[in-house]
Amino acid sequence: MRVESKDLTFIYGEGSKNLSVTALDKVSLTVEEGEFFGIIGQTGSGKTTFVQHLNGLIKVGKDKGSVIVGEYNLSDKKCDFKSLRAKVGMVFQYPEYQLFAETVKDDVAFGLKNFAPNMPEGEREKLVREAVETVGLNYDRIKEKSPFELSGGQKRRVAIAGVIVTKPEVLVLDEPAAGLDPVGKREFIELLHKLHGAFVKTIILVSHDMNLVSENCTRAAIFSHGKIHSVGTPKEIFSRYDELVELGLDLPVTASLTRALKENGIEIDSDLTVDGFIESAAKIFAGEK
Amino acid sequence: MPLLQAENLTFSYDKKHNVIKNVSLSVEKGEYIAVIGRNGSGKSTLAKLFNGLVKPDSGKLTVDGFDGNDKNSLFEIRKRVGVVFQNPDNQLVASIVEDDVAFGPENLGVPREEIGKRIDFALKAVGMEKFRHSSPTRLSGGQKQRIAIAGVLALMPEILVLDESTAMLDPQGRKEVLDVVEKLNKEKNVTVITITHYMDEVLNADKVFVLSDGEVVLTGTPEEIFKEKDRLKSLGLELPLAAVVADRLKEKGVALPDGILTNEGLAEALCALKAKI
Repeated sequence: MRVESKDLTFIYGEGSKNLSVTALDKVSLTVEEGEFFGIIGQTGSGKTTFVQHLNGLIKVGKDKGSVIVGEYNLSDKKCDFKSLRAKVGMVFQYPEYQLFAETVKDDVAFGLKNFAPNMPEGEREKLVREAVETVGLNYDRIKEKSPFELSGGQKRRVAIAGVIVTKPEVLVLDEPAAGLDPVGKREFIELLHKLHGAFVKTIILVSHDMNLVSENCTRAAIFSHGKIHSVGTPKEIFSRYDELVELGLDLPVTASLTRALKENGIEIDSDLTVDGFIESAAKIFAGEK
Repeated sequence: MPLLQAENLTFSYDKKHNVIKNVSLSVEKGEYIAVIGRNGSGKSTLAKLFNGLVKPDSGKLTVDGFDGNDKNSLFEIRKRVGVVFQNPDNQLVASIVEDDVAFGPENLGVPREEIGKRIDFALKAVGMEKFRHSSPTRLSGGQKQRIAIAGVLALMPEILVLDESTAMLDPQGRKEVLDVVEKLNKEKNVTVITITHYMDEVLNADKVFVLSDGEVVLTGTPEEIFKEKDRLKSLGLELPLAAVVADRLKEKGVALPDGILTNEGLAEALCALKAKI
């Protein structure tokens, strides 16, 4: 499903003289089906408010622009939000804080019970098993366990299983790797690519981790003060060194190295992934003593 | 005598599985210590042991000469060891910044005039004096975490323990908090113990403890620790990304020196290489 916003505006506390804050100011952005799209920007730049529109957690206000996801027009009052939400999965920051049920099985099944209340128990359990196994956990071993007995990494996986159990075509993740150790983080990213190769067609990833974005995203958008500052491939985005620093954002390691070398008269042209950077840099530096 | 000394600390939550096993370590006054390890390796439990939030099943913790096993010392230890946790929203208790900072000293029975001075000191130390009368709910994550640190500083601790205190912050917020912590360490000689997954935070430390499955398995300076590449890998830890890039360039025949850990170091080494031809 394609995700498209046009002139999307959102104001917190609209109508209040002193307290109203414009979180989104005429944001127009299109994410094509199949993309692994990054959204970056400082805290308060509107990233989360934007993605919360994509499954109708925040409704598009009257005269506040439009949001279209696949065949769903979210600005239309008659939009079927329930079926939309089964297709647009949303993983929040620290999703493990949202686990609540007595067993892993019940927790993962919760969304499914809401979206398809008439589904036979056997079929439901089959989907729950599939989701738990997709996130790399042994279903038979943990299905009757309390989610609170699990380790942090396992909890996060269970929380994600609860989102992907409906096989969403669009997966939106808000800072999903925060708090994971380096290996946990790597495994998590592998999981995202695995999902992206399966039923998930489009991934939208909100993150402060620039290395994560430059390594994995097809394109990214920079949000600033509720507006889109720029959209492009990681190479296009992260080559704007000075603007990024001005916006209070970090550079990926590859971009900061490319920038430092450029200042010393050495041009390294790469796509700014670690592999790409190493290949280009090795060509220039290998064999030099 | 070290400011904080742990001797054979062992602890379990359920009396079955030890999450801290025979940990012995010492921290000197003014040191900047980093603790790293995988999720579930016992890092946060160690932080809780350091200020007596949990009591060891066996072993001994001494802080500034006070014995952790002596019930009467617990209060003295908590006065000296302040812990800042991960989520700022879980640590602020009052609706006005200055009340929040005053909460700790008020509980310790610090006289009123003295509390005023401590609020001044603590808010100035974290650069938040302008927000004294603000509501914490209207602050950013980095600002809130700085208030949480101020609340701990108002207790005048000898040791500041940061348990992944920057994990939920954006790069700007992280930098704000790290700058404050570094300043406290350098200028006020506050001893810092930081628990983190961010390898760049580890690089600033005087000493690093690597925890695995409840045991301290490596101790040393960041340079010494990051030399043990294979060991770290087997423990599920990684080198800073700049070091990984440097290693991979070396594999491709780029004649870089050993021991590169930072972006700056790598950029410098590459420029030096180019200058030689």
